[in-house]
Amino acid sequence: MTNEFRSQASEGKIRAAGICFDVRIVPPGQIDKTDAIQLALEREGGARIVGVWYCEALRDTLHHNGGRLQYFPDGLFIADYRISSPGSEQYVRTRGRWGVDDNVFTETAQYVAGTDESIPKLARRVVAIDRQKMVLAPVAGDGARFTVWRGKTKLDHQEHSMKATQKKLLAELEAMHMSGFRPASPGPGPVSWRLDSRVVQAAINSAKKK
Amino acid sequence: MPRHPDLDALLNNLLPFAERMLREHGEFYPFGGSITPDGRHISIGAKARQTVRSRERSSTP
Repeated sequence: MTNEFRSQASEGKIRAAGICFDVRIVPPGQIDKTDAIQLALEREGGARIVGVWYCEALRDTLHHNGGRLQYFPDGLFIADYRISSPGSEQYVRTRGRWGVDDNVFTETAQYVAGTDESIPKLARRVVAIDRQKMVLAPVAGDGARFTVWRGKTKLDHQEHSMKATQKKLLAELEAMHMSGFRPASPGPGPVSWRLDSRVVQAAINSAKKK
Repeated sequence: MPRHPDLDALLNNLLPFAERMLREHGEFYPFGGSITPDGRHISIGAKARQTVRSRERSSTP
């Protein structure tokens, strides 16, 4: 029933759900067990996040991050990042737990592979979410606001290991025009690497509007 | 306690039935309810791995 509700929520068919269980508990101060009702309620925020999302950021002018974020219904997440700069690329995989409480999304990495850097706990308010994108904003003014896009890729329930998945990740990022710094085709001028990404396109669009 | 009207509505729908089942039968199979984007309430009962949609009605009081 839980899986069915979460599936329906991720497809936008329901916006809230609850399940009632008959449980046996020992009330505080007593010895004998008694019947009790356990009620689990969930609103759309969490269930709608389940799926595969993509994000990117231009950390500075020479470092581009492209990421694939897989949020599973059981609260597990697998996040793969490609961090590229002219002449180099690095792949990082993190695995941990995610959740939504009162519209605040949190992500806690338990394992990290591909870098020695620690990953701090992420907390962001979900300010907008639909079938295409999700906008996450800082809870208390610190940190960055960012947008993630929902991908067509299905959740990969088989691949929870900490092995990197470079080729698959790069192919998916490139399909979304997030390849980052890649060798450029030979041509005039000194530039041999290019940044092929939504970030650049967004900057071009923004410049055109001004 | 739930802080959102949807969760309040689910609580008010599900809990009385669970209390009645416990009072009258001493136990009950898990059951649940959901709210569609247009506000309709749907109740579901689970029994022996079968999920049965039992009733569907409008949330309008």
